[in-house]
Amino acid sequence: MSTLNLDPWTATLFLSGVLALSTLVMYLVYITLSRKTPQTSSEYSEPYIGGESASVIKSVDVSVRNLFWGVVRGAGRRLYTFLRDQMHNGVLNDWGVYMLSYIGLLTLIALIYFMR
Amino acid sequence: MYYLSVGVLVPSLIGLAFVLPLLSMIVKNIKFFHAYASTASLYALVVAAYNFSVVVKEGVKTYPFGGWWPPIGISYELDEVNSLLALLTATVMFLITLYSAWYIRDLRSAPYYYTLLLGLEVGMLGCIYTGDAFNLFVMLEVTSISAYALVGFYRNKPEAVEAAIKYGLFGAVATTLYFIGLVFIYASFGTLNMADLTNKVTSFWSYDLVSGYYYGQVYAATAIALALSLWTFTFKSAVFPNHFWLPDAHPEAPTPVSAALSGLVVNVGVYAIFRFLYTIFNPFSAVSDLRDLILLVTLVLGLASGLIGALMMAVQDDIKRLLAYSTISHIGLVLVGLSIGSSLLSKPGSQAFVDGLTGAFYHLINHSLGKSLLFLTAGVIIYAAGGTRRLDELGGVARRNPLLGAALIIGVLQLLGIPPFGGFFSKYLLYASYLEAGAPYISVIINVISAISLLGYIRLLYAALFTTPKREFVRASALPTIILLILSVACLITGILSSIMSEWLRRFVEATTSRDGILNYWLQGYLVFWGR
Repeated sequence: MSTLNLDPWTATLFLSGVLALSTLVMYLVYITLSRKTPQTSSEYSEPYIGGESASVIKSVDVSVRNLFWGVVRGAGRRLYTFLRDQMHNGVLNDWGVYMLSYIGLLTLIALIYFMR
Repeated sequence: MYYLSVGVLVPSLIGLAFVLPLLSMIVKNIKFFHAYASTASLYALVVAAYNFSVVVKEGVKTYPFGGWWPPIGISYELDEVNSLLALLTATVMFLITLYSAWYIRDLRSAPYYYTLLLGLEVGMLGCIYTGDAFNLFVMLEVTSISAYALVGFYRNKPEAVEAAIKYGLFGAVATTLYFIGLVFIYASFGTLNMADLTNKVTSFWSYDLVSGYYYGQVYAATAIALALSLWTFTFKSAVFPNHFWLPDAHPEAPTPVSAALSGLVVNVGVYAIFRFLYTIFNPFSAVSDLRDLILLVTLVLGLASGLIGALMMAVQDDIKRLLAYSTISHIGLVLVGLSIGSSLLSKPGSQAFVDGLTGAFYHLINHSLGKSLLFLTAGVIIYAAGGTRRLDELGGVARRNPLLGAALIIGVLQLLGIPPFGGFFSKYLLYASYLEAGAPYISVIINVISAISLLGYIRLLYAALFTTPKREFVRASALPTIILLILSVACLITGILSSIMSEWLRRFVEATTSRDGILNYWLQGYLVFWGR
């Protein structure tokens, strides 16, 4: 069995081409086999999960957008409270604290360098 | 040696820019101004391309203004790195100027807009071409003043005026600090010519800086000058914690200007950091230990910038603000690449050193192309959606226009770093350089930054592409679509030709940052005139 030796650049380009071709083939298979009219059933329109009645689930909006916000806000509530409400609040005085601290740090490094 | 084309571009473009208000008193047809600005920008592109080709063929080229030889007069000095960045700037600015002809097609104040836009281009080209530290200050001011006015161009919008005031206020502080830094440099070395400074700071013939007693504390003055300069350059390139102005300023500007600010203006700060820390105060200079400390600071700031920009992208509702935070994240990554030159991480000329710098410049090019593409696409999307910038209200606008959707996807893939686009290869080089430098945790953080930024990009794609269109959208004309197509192809080319591009950049980086390269910068920029 022969081995194909490729440098990282060529290998990446080659694999990208293979992936693109595979995606195209899968897409063609999908549009060939997919139904032309949507399938409907009572189960499709009324999901039933975990013993709760369908009416309860219907009232909950679980769009992709809400899921995104749920995950981001849930996982990083404290982080974003700091980043958004305290750091990037648009108040010049608060920006100044960070920016002046930075010039202070640089000046400190300059002084330490000189005193060494 | 004495190249007119190096010196002629910036002054002639200034002339072309400032003739516009005068012409507006005579000519009333707005189409004339569109054609005029596009021709001026094309002229800049042709001259920048010529200068680049000359430098690649013949090496460093210098032009002393007014016939005053350096260090007495101001000189422009072109090497491989700055001539390439100037070509990138002129190319993207040409496309942005063409796009502006569609974007402000009926605006009565078009002459003033183009004066400022050409002023912005002049400032950037001047910053990149200059071989004089004081002229860099002047050109930073030219860039900044044009940028402040362009951010506040819609003066009937309170948000735009507020953003311009905030940007102007801190921008003035930044350039003033750089000016004070120049005072320290001039008091210590008696020169502001970059080639002359390089010679005086570098131990080409194994002598140390003359410091103390009569000469003053040159080491202390250099340290303070570097601290002040770095603060200014990180402000101009919007690196944490000097980034606060950018998410307010860039979205409020007209969209072509946002593309120029986010895709090109931030590059000027990065280039200035490179010129100061790799040419003037280079690894072979008498202050190399100070430089090492400063490069560690830039590494930490670059990583913090990358993380904060990526995290903030995920919670934006405004398409332009999301892209602005993406700029902060990507410039952070570029700065991480530039920080590889600390002797604590790599030795000059080593594989890690060259890969890191190559990755930084490669990513700068990829980011400029990708970000300009995304901002210009956002401009068409906002127009088609009736002027709203809110992601929730875009409602699948790019779905109705497949070319617009394709441009958006290509821009996102370029910045996200998905093969075969250039962004992947530049991020790979940055990643590999820190692995080679024996700092794998930095490589991991680079990947984490890319992963976090995915959240923001998904939000952008979902809003513009994957939601169902609920209303009819306005269709844009052919001109912006052609420009988006050109930039999309450019993004693809930077990836497909990645091996050629990275090889070229590697050669440029080696030629510019090696001991011989630095000596050559001094010889061509200073000694060659006096040796005639």
